[in-house]
Amino acid sequence: MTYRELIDQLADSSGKSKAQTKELLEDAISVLSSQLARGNGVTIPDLGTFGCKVKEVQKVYSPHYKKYMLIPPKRVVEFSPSSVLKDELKFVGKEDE
Amino acid sequence: MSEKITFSELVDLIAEQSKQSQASTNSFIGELVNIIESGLRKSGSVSISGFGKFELRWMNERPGVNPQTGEEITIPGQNKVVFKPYKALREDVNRPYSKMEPQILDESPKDSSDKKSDDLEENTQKTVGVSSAEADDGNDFLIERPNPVKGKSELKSAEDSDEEKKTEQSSKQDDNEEVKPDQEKFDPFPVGTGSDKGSKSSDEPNAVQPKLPADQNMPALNAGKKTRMAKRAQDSEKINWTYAAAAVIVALAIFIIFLVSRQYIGNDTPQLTSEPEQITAPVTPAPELNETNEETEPPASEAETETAPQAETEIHTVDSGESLWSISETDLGDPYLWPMIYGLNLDQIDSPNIIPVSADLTVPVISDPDNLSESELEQVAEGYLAVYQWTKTNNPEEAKYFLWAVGVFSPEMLDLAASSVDQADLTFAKTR
Repeated sequence: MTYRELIDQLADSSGKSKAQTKELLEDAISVLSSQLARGNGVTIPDLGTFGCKVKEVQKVYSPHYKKYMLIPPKRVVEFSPSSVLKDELKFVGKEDE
Repeated sequence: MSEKITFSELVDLIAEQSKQSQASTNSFIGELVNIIESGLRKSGSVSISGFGKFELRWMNERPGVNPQTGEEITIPGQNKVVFKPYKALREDVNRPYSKMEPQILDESPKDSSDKKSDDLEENTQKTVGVSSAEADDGNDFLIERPNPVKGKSELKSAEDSDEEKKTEQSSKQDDNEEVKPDQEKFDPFPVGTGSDKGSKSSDEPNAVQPKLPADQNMPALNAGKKTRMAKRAQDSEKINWTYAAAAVIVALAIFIIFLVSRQYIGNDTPQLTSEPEQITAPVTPAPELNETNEETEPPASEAETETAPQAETEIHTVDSGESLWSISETDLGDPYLWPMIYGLNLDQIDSPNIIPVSADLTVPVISDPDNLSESELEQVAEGYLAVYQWTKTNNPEEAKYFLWAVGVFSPEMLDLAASSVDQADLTFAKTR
């Protein structure tokens, strides 16, 4: 599903115009992003939990330099789906098997 | 870091931003979630521009163990919901660490150790965790786990993979040795090879403590070390040490022959062989001191004899493996200033070549090692004088070089000390 389709459907179900829906969605996403950027996680009911995790320094072998490299620590977004969502989608597309 | 905000806080914030009521925002997000779910159901992926993409990923049936009973079970195939953040979000979230860059390590796979966590604790300087070895270790762990069903076949494969590991590693070692001459070409540091080591050692603690946001003072730390002296010191450390040791031994032999008539021949040779490194280092590079000091030395007008006011000092706790030379290099910015530390810590150090581990040494704070103040020069000279006196009793042949260094840093100090030193050494120091 593309972003456009998402907005279309969201506009349909909320009864707002597409432009309005898009604006609302962008606001919501920007707030969520900025919270994540600050390191704050949040749980959205029925969807799942967004969180931030710091990956520690890693040492990896670089085939290009033929040497080991230290990969600096990194902060990444984590998402763990809620159990509702997980269970709902567990066998989607595989029901016939 | 890993704080959380509640959903209602999030709704408040979004409502504020979009100037909608909280109730309508709440229902809007509810609809959004529904649509994401139905979109995943229908097409298996939902993309939200500027944020990320939700996807369904099919996980095949796989064997597993019930963690509570240890029972062997088969995990049935199922969908997994994954979220893949887009670049904008990734960069936003990673902003605190965005300035850090990967670092190429010089170690070859030979001195690999197997535990990554160990490395991190040890400042990652000594050993390298081999990524392939780590991966293999992972396998080993899996394989060692009791596995009644496939026990035998997997044991066999464990042996196989062990052998593979060996060959793999040995081939890797070969690769690495071949490539070594090219190391400098790939060097990520624009500083030049000389100060590499310094910059690394100051970088790594930062890298190891990920709680610190990207440090902007890393370059500043390095900046002080990019002096000619430091470079030369490093170079001479790398290249000259073997030559220097040989040269000193030859020089000593010559002196012994020439100074047979003198009374000091007695007791030095065993001393020298027991402490080859640190003796040679301060002595042989000494001639290089000449030019820098001619540049920096202020005109010798002041005749102050009072001991230098020790403006700033700090405490350095000695780690295993450190020498006065290395402490001086890291803390003072110039390894040739090591006698300063020696002079300040005569109560704790007897031999300048051997310093006690975990001693708290007083280390002067030097802002600019290239332009020492008058009092700092005197301090260095004092230190060299102390080293001279120690060397005179323990290794008389080499003592005069230190006396010469006293004169280089502070001619007044040499004059003051003239009465208490050996006259032959004094003439050597003055005529050199």
